[in-house]
Amino acid sequence: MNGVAFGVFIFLFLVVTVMGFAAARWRRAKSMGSLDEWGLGGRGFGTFIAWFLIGGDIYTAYTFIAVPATLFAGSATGFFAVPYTIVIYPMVFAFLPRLWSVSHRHGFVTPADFVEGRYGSKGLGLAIAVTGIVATMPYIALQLVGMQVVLDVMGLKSSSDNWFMKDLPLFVAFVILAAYTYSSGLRAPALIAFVKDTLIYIVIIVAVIYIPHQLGGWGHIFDVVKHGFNDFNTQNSDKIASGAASPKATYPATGIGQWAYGSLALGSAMALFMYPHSVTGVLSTKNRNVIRRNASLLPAYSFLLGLLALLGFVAVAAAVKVGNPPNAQLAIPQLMEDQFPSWFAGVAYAAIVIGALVPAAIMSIAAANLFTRNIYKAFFRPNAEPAEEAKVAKLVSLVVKVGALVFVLAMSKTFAINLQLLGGVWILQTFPAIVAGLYTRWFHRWALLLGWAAAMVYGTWVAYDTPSPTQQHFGGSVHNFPGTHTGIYIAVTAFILNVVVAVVLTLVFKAVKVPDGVDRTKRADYVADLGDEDVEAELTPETAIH
Amino acid sequence: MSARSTGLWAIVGVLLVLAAVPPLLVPVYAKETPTLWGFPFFFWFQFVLVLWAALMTSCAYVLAKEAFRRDRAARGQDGGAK
Repeated sequence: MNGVAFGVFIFLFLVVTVMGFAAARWRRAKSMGSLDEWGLGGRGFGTFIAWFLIGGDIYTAYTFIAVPATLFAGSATGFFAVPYTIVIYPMVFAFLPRLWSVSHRHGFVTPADFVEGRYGSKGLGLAIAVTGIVATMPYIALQLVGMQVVLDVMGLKSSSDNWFMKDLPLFVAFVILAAYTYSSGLRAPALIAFVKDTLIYIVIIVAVIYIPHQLGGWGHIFDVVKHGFNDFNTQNSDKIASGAASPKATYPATGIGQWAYGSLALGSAMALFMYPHSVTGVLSTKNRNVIRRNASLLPAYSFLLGLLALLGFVAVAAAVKVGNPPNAQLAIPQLMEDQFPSWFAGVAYAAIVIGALVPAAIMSIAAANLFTRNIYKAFFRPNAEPAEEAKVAKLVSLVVKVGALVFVLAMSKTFAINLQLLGGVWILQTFPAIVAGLYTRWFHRWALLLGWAAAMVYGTWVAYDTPSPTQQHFGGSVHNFPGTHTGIYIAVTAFILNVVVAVVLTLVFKAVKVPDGVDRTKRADYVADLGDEDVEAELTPETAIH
Repeated sequence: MSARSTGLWAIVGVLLVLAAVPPLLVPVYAKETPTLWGFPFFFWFQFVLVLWAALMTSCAYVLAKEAFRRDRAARGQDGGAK
């Protein structure tokens, strides 16, 4: 363990801890006793805060560890994160303002609230809510995996065999996170996101300039990587032919690789804003314009993510050691440990760990909102007052986090990663009900529910059935599209099935006149803006403290 | 959508398509050359696409704001949030 790096790390961690608790007083409202306040930060965030919050929310620590790790391991497919985060924003631009408007008119806090109101179906709302919760849980767990990797490289892992003692630092960090999320709600990650993103920007910009300079420049790095990968492919040609190893490549040269790349980008982009935590970020904004303006400002993060991904190649060129058996996820923290002076390595570690805390907080808030609104209130306490909702959500946020922690500490990490893969497949299946619902009531509620169910079962089964050289099941996100030898993202195939079932059954149900639910929304609700009737402005902060 | 905003909304749609579709045309950019500052084409081109998409959505934002304002004026509402 390096004393200087550790000192810098602890200092920055303490700073955000203080901020997390102080956030309860930031833009203070009369009472924190409602989901609008605790769970959506008062619905009053402007462009600037929203940029940090949404950026902090979707570019997570795990992304920062895992994306470069795939490139480090020799799969250029991992770079799909860049086109994925380009394709997202035109979609955000098109449909999220409508979700914002209808949600503000009707006080919707979650995407499942909207679906329930639009289709008059608690069952469909429940399906959306449960999908959101089970897709989010492993995502939170992976943030912990990201933290664990950093703590590991810092030398903070004790040699004890006891699972509790072994990960004590992780445990401490998480208890602190849970405490300030409980007391400050969405304000805590919103405030900490400033620190997180500032640190991440500094670290990455320094890393992509300083480290390649040390190693002889980008051109040299790409050459070293290319030759290394070619040598690997030549030496392992037998294994590759028999499927026991995957060939390495610096870009997807074949049609098959390109289909996988494109479909992963498209499917992931469609899925991202179905995740409850992304919707939470969007609904916390002050007005419609904030969302569209951010759609043109958030690509700054995509640029950063691309640079970061390439650090995976830098780590190859720097011949970073990632343990035996090799763990590619150690590549980036280890690269920083090897190349940076120790004080700056401390900054880098802090950036990644804080980068895990922000999304973990938002995700647990989003999952808690879903549980409270669409399970607890919808089925058990229809008359729950706002104060009761907030109380339940705060408790659930704790349960969700403890669950994720136990998940990571007591079960295998592979299990969390498998579930995260499935989470992406699952969450995309809520797209038809949510996005189509923003534009049309043509679909029948039961048709959407059955389409969702068919796609969930199919997607899970196909993912289970996908082997890789190292795993028999859940070996990857790509499978051969039925009837072809072209691999595409499993979520996309399941989505196609979902839409086909929903369309066919809608026609059937309409023909036999199965009663459709009552739509509580009106046409004009979808274009409502701040200042209109029933669209409340920021929930009267006593004094806006900035 | 009022008669006065239809054209603007159409341009907004085109701009969004121009932003979203190029990254999905993988075969167009999955190649090594020409390189730029040592970066293979595959990588630097996608960085250019990020900037391109940001430009397209920024233009779309300005036009959509105006189109939205006209729609509201046509319905007799004020301009909404600034």
